[in-house]
Amino acid sequence: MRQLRILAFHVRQFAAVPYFAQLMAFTTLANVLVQLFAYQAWGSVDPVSGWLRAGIIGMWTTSTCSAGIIGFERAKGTLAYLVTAPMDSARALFSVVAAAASFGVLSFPVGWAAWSLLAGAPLAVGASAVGAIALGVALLFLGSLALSFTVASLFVLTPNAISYEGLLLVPIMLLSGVLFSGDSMPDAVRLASRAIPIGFPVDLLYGRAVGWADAAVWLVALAAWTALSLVLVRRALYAARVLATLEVI
Amino acid sequence: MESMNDAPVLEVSHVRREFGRDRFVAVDDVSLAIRPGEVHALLGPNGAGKTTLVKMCATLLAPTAGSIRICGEDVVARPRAARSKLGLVLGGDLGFYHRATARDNLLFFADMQGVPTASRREAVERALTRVRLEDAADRRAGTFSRGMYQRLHIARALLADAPLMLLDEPTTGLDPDVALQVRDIVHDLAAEGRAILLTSHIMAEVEELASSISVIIGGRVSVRGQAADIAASAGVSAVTTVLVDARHGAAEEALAAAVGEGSKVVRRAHAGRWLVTVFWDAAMGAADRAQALSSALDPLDASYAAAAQTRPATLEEAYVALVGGRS
Repeated sequence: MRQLRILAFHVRQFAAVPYFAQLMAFTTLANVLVQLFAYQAWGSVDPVSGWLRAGIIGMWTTSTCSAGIIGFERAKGTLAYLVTAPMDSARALFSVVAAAASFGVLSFPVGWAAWSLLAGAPLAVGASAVGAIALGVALLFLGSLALSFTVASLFVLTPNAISYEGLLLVPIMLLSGVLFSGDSMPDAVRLASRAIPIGFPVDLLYGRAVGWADAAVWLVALAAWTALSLVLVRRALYAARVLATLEVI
Repeated sequence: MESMNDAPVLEVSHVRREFGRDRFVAVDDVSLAIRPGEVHALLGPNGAGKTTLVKMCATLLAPTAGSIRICGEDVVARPRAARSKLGLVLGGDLGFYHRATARDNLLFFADMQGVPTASRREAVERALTRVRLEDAADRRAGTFSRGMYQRLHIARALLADAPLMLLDEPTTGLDPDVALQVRDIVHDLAAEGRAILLTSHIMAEVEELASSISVIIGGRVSVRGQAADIAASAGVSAVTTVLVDARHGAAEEALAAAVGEGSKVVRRAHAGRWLVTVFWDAAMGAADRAQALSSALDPLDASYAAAAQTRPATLEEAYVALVGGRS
């Protein structure tokens, strides 16, 4: 309950700052436009995949940038008070990152509405697909969060972390499989995508064939990335206390 | 707050802190202990290491060597346990969520500090009342004046009812009336049995609040005690002030020649006259001082020496004599 209250407080703060809502909306809208042009010009993109791709990219972009919120907390002078509270510092930081990343979930309804509006008719999604999409979005959010929190350790360690963010954002986006249609994903990429916890949710959203084994591998990857992020954030916090980078410099 | 006893709430033992690859030493072999109800002030020039020491106590910085314990909990080995015993006031215009109200900010930080859910609203209202912000509780923190913001910092530090308060320059930049309010709060907190570590550049504040003072110069404790101890360390036994007419500015040179090498004479304008101040060297006794004043001032005006006032050095005078031009 306490954790939820803390999370809700951060969400309210971010709702009052337009950055994350704008980031989510513009990324999603830009991708909807690109997908829609491709669909109308060549018909090479099916509408449901096009909308979902825009939503996935919108969520991933918002999640990745949410790690940078730690730099924002540092600039506001609140980071010092978050990490000197008796609460576990990693939990305190996780709440901030999760709150910022939660705006990414909105990229799916925004993408659907934008596609429907621009296409001139509500985009039909089969009743059977709605459940899979909802599950896919939830799992994608969890996977994105685990990766974002790993990136967040960079921001704990150094105020210059934003320079390195893109080094992680683009390769993981490629490995996720979001840029491939149908079964066009090379086997090597498919194999590598299993090592990151957003490959399986992307398959689920695209309606690709997945089984329980894929779900189990996803769970292991999620647990591994979550554990890695916790280790890295704790090490980064320790290093930041040694290097004196927890406050505004 | 936890029950009072005489065991130190804060124990700093041989702490050292280095920065950077060139291993610049900001704090060097500093030790101190603060018991319940004590206010310990850190004085020193800019960059002396006062804030660095406070931040190490707050677990924001790791000591390079030495140990810091809060209520027996080591800040490096058991940081969370140590943090639960302290309230931190770094002050300044940052540190809160500006779009949230003062009350919402404090409710959030009450959760962060582990204040029980059932009592957090009461704790917040109590803290707001304590710093006289109850009427502004529903205003956004970003709209607060500097004085209100500073009091909000103190309110946050009060939420968990911690036995140790770390106050880093709590009245810097405040209007005099607000600064007095903050001093009253600090005084009351100590009277309730809290241990307080305070840094300040305002000598009158330190003199009023502190039960003991450490002067830190170059990262090391140069002298510890009361104002008199600092004056003794600076070699100042007493201070004499005398007002002379504007035409008698030569009194400064005459006194400088009469008081000897260890003493110091300063002259400044005061209400159309000169205020001449003599910082007496500890070697100068009362008779020596009277003799020097008389020999220097009688040739100018026989009434000057009789009108001169001699008293113990204030903290500010002792500090200036000790630190010299370092700040």
